[in-house]
Amino acid sequence: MEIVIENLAKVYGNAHAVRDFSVTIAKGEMVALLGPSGCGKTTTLRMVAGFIKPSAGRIVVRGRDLTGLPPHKRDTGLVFQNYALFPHLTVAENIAFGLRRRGVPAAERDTRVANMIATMQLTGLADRLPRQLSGGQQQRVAVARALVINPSILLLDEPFSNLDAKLRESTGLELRRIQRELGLTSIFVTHDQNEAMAIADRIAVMNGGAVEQIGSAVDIYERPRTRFVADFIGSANFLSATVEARDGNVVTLRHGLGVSVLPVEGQAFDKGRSVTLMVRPECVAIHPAAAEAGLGTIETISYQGSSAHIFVKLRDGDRTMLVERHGRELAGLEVGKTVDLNVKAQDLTLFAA
Amino acid sequence: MSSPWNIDQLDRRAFMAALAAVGAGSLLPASAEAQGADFKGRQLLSSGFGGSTMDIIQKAAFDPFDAATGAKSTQVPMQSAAALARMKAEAGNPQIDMYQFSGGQEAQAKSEGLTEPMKSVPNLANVPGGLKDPDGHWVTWAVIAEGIVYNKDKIPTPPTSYKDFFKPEYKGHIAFPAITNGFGMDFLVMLARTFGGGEDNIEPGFAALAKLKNETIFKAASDLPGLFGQGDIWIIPYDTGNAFKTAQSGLPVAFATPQEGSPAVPITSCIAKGAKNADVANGAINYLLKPEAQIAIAQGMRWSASNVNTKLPAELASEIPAVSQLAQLDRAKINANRAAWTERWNREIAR
Amino acid sequence: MTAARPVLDAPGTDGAAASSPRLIPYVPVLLFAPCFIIYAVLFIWPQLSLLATSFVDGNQWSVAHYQRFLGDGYYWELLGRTLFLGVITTVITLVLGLPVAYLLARMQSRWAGFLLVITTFPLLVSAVVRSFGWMVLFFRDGLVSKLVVALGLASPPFQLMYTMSGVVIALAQVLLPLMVLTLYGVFRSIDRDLELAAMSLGARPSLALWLVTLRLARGGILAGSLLVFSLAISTFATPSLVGGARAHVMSTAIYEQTIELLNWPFAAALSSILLVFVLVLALVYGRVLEGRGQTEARP
Ligand SMILES: Nc1ncnc2c1ncn2[C@@H]1O[C@H](COP(=O)(O)OP(=O)(O)OP(=O)(O)O)[C@@H](O)[C@H]1O
Ligand SMILES: [Mg+2]
Repeated sequence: MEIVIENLAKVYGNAHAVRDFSVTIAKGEMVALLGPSGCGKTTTLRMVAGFIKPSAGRIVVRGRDLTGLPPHKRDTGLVFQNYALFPHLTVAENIAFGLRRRGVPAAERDTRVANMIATMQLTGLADRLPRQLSGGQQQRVAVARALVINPSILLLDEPFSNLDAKLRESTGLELRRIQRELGLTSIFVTHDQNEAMAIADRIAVMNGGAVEQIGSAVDIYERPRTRFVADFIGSANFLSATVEARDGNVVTLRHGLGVSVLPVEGQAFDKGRSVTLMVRPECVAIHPAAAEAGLGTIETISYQGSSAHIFVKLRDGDRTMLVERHGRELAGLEVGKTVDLNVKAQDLTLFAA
Repeated sequence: MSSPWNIDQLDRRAFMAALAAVGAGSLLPASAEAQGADFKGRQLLSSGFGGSTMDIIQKAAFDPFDAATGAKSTQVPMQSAAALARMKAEAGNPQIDMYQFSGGQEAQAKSEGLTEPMKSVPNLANVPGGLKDPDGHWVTWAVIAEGIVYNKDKIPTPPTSYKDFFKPEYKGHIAFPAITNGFGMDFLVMLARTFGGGEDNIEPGFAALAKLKNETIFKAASDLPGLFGQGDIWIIPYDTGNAFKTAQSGLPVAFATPQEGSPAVPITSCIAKGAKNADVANGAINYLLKPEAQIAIAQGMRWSASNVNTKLPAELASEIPAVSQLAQLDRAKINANRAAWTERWNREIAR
Repeated sequence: MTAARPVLDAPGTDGAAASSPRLIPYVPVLLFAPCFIIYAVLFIWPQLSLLATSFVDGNQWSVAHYQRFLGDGYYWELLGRTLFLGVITTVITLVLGLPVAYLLARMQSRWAGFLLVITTFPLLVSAVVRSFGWMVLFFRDGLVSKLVVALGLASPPFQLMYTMSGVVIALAQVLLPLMVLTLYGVFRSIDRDLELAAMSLGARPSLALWLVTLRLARGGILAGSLLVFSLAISTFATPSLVGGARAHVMSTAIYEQTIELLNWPFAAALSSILLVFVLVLALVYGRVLEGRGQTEARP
């Protein structure tokens, strides 16, 4: 394995910034650290870069234990959230900085810098100072500076957060393309799930210093392992349910939208237990219904072009369900109308509590 | 107290006569003071010498004056040289009404037209001619005697001569003031006199001082406790007042009168020309000349009195040299050579 | 003077002023006016009259005072000693102040603020009082003088009092807080991440410090040095109190001429010469800063 991080932890006083973080990353893979503010993403990344000394755990890259090594011996390429470009150096000098430290001969250095400038579409800006660049250009210089040294790991700390939404997406995909081309193993930090899902091979969802789940975007979205992950990634409807019957590994559940039969594993789902079900908004079927027969009433419709978010207030209790429909499939659905809601068993995710 | 001498107008003969007169203890009756002067609500600003000296003078003269007249007198601490510079800078619009000098600045102040004559100072009549300006621009109200200040523990037999500074056993234990300190200039002149020269032939003075150039040189009287306090400075050419003050602080220090003579340093006052409170200043100067004030000053600082009617108590009189016994230096000549000698001193002694 | 930081929206900012109301161009003038008037009345005018005084001899215009200075090795030595005092004091405060300021600026502990106050605390005590403090330590029996002897750096009888070394030590202590404060502000304005970026690119910590932080702090280091240097060569209290007669420098010579000898024209000439040196230094400093701008833009 290219990168192995084992049981990494960081404790400040009695606060655990990161606890028991483990992940193995294959060569050329891009892993996103995703989580809410303060969950320990930056701390993890900086431990890998060598700026923060871990309280416990190991970081092994290509079989070499980096844990005790100072940053300059780690061979990591780091892109900072605020880019941290050297303000007194030109774009070319910024990019050449790491090559100079490695004693790359001048001729080779010039070629590599020129190539990188071309790759990152910075042609013509080589002699500018960072303050003479736009935000997007600065971001590309920061990436170029980290890539040009051909690091064994590329680390990016919220590399797109200073860009506007449009630029963010295109830059992200561009970065992904280059990273693939160069076969760079990377870890990048973000609190933007769309970014993580669009770019990363795998996503590590973090919460309160710990990893909740690591997996592909599909895994995490469709098979969230914890309620936190389900809630944090995308939108989720949570339903309380009761186990009506258990037959081996199959349970019958009663919930607000009816009765569903699901396969389960583990002791937590014995008869009589209260559990939680999660269903994604796009997996809820919605039909107009007769006034007295429907499960709920449409409260709000938020039209977004390609799709629409429909908020349905359930008749029993004050729970509201979010339903997502194609933007053109709103016939017969109006605010105040009574509707019926259906879910398929395979779209339900079951949580013990 | 550290200040140059600038008396270029002082008549040497008149001064000697004055000293004689004080010595003879003239029996002129105390003249009537300006009675009933009322300065209620008036403010008097005077330059002062700072520190405990200023406090003693305040208690001896200014406080009784304030009590009797209702004035409010304040002394602003200032070295004499700085005071003259201030007087010059404020010429025409004086903020300070009255000045106190210890370095002969009064003569220069008068010659530069910075002073005005005193009026209605009855005690002026009791000061001998040489101790006041013939035109009444300034008056001496105390005299300091210079000599040898020494550590009694290290030097059990009191020194008797300026030649003692060259005793091999004192080598490395001597300190003397810089020439910009008035006492430093007088030391140079007294050394010249000791070794066959004088105000007219300063050469022997510089030659003698050159032999001391590796000894400690200091600038201000405030260094004295530091110098004596450490125990390895034994002998310094300085004055009775500071010897007394240092001894009072508990150090084993005493004053000795050298056989070559103790140079006299007149302490004077004058009024700034155009001073808004000239009338109050006149009243205060009269108080400085009162025997009671001068006795208090002698008691507090061992300064000699200038009023012929001042009769010091016997035990005090034995400690303070009478003005008539003091050697007088030719201030006019010294002043004329001040810049040249300072320059030379800087080059030959301080380097 | 503050080190440049990446300004993300730099290309757009210039246009903003152009589109603002007409009033704006006068605002800088109005803002400068009070300072300029005070500066003119309290500095330029006195300075000019000082300069005029220095060209007066007796009742006529003359360059005699300058001739006296320039033609006399003694005064050159005086000037040399003064400049030496300035240089050595600047070097000492820089060497001592740089690490302190750097550590304080980078410190994350909540003690940092407290330590900064402690560092600058001496500024609350007048230089005269501090110099008196040093006198106690510098006399032959004083702690510091005894320590120097005990360390074998000098043979007894020895005292730092009335020596140039004593003046340098006391002055360095008097001026150190100013150096630390200046540098602290400079280091605070330099993003810590720049150093980390340099390290992650393969620079040893010391090299990262040199190539990035110190490089960016250059303007501030020069400013602090200029500040300390000009104060060191013009300060009076410390050389006068600690140095006494033997550590004669320009300021004490000016005092002597002004106060003791009342030779104001010569004192004015000495002051003007000292001022010229400070001005020349400030100009050179400006050039160095300008030069930095040029290297930055160089291809
Ligand atoms: N030097 C420190 N001392 C004490 N606590 C710290 C320190 N650095 C970080 N923390 C704490 O550790 C936790 C994780 O911080 P970290 O910066 O890694 O969060 P993050 O996930 O990067 O958040 P964000 O998305 O806001 O950048 C936070 O609760 C933070 O307050
Ligand atoms: Mg962060």
